[in-house]
Amino acid sequence: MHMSIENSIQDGTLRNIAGKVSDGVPISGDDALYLLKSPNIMEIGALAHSVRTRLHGTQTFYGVNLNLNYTNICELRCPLCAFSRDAGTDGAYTLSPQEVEAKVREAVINGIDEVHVVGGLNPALDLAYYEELLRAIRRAGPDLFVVGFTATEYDYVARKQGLSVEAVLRRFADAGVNALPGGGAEIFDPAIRQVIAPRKMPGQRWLEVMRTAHQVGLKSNATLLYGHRETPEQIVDHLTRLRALQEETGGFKAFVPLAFHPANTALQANDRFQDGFSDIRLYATARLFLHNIQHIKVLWMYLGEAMAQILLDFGVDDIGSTYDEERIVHAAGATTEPSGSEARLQRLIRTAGKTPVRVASNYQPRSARKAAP
Amino acid sequence: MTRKSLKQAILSGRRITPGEALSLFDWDLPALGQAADHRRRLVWPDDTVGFIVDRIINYSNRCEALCRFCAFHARGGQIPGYDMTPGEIIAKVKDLVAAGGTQVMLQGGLHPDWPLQTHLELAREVKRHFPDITLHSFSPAEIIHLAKRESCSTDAIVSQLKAAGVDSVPGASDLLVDRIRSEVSPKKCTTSEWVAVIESLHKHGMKSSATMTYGLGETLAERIEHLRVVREVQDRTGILRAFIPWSFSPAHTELAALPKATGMDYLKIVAIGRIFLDNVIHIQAGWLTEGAKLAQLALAMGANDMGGVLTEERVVKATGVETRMTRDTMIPLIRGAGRIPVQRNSNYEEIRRFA
Repeated sequence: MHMSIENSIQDGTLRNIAGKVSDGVPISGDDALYLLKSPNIMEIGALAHSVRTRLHGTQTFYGVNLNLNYTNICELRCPLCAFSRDAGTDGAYTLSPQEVEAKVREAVINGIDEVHVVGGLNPALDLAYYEELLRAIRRAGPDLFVVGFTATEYDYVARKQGLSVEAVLRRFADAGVNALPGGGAEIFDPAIRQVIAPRKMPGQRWLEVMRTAHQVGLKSNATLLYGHRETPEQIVDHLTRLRALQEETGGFKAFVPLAFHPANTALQANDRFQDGFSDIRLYATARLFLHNIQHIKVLWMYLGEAMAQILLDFGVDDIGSTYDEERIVHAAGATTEPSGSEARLQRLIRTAGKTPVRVASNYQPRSARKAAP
Repeated sequence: MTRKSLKQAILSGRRITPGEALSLFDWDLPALGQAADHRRRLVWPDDTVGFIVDRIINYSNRCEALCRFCAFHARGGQIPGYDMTPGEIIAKVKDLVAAGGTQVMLQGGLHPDWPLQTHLELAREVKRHFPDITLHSFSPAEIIHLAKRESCSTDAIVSQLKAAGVDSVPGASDLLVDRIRSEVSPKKCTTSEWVAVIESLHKHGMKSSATMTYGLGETLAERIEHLRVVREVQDRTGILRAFIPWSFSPAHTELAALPKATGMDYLKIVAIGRIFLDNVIHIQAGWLTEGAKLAQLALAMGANDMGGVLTEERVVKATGVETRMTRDTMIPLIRGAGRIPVQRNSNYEEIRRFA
């Protein structure tokens, strides 16, 4: 509904921002900061919804995928993480390429379009392991879309193997990777990164890996971990760096905010963990500020189905995927189901008055395939 | 009527028709929220959001109604039958008073064995120990049940409850649509009996509220029908201090196969309730059933109250929904919405402001 949004806004600064949005002028960092601090979530939501509607109409995207967390052994042991383990400790695991192939075969029978493969920084794994893992996925599902490895993992493998990141990206692409997920970005600001993920590579490095990936022709997503101890200024800094890189490469398909789940991690969350206003402000501001990124995606698995559905009216056009076998966010206390049936996601979208569109992470439509006999 | 002219009508404060209200379900949330927040400011210009420190005491789960939407009653198989003793109830009220609480909700069912006398003694006993505590207790369905059991009028039951110390009666309305009531709660009072109890409470100078349980298989038009019944009885009586919608929680009930109402359903009914019920001042956000985040969002879509914080609720919990809320989590939640938390009494008067 576009009933002269600008005219119905009381707040002058917000009216000015609304003017930029309707003229297609990018809003400034100060504008974004203002939005992130404003209690007027319905006005902000109306603006974000108008942009979402202009870009996508009622289309709402979702995926049918398998989440493959190939190892939880990780050198970093970030305070923000409840998933990682030290090698040789209780619950530590690494999937062999054979195990991966069997899992993917089963998932293909169940009708998935995509595999999302991410894991820890495990010193026992060499280049051959990763390539074998990817080939195993390809064998099990030749036409699957494979979203593989965070920037952190590429950086780690490159350093350990004495190769350039570009070389690793090219080899993995040859072995089957189609695109990169957006993970590992966390939040770029060095001060807060030092607290939540002190041993993870700096934000600057994450951006460099993504630039290289985009240059070799691999598209990616971009994430932001929020709801821990960050300030609105640090969020704007993060979004500003993403927007700048996107101007350069155009390689980001979707921006995916990740709500921090504190259970079983070494971090205590701040009050905002239960703050629905912060969720709305963040997604809506992202839609308004990231004018050059096509999709804003909510992961229902992180925020719950109710909140994910509500956000479809506040700038979000992608509700995430079925995520069979997701483990990382559940290790941190997410209370959502470990996977969502396609029918459930479709119902969430339809009851929001939207049109479900099944896609892979390149946003090419996929139709449900018949399960193999 | 176009959306634009309906929006103008809403902004002007004009009463909207059931047909107009029905069309609001098609509006997106930001547009609906802006309209509802405007209507909230017309009746409640303050930026305060109230909450009450109270305790729900589910004194018994023996109930003849056996509603299909309930997982709490003794024959539902979830919870063995129990009756609390007066001593147990008094101990709970004592805890509440020690925590600064002001209101007790005694909530049971249509008890198969207890006569009116037992209910009256319960109220008297609480008031004897704690004369200052507000008893916001029992329900229209219990009053109708007791009138039938005692073969007397609704008025007679209401006046005796009042004399025993009951201050006000929660509306416990479920869904005021007989097609649905006859399917899901055939032994509970009908819509017209519910209305009769509200009118009787009015006659005796007592206050009440209207709740709404949706997601029971009703149509959108039937949701509006519920609101129409509430608005009309409020026009005649003016005793409904608040409107409190919440979604039906199907798990562990006979209606477990019903699809659960969505988050959007909730925010829309809050907003449409605010816009349609121009004669009800307070709209409560239902954190108990919807969770803290959705309750907070409801504050931007017409709600101006958060209900009670210190509860020991068992009925919703029996369906597997468990949301905890204390004064310490309520206050930042309200502040996070850019509003001022206010502890209030049962009459919606300010006790303490957390500026």
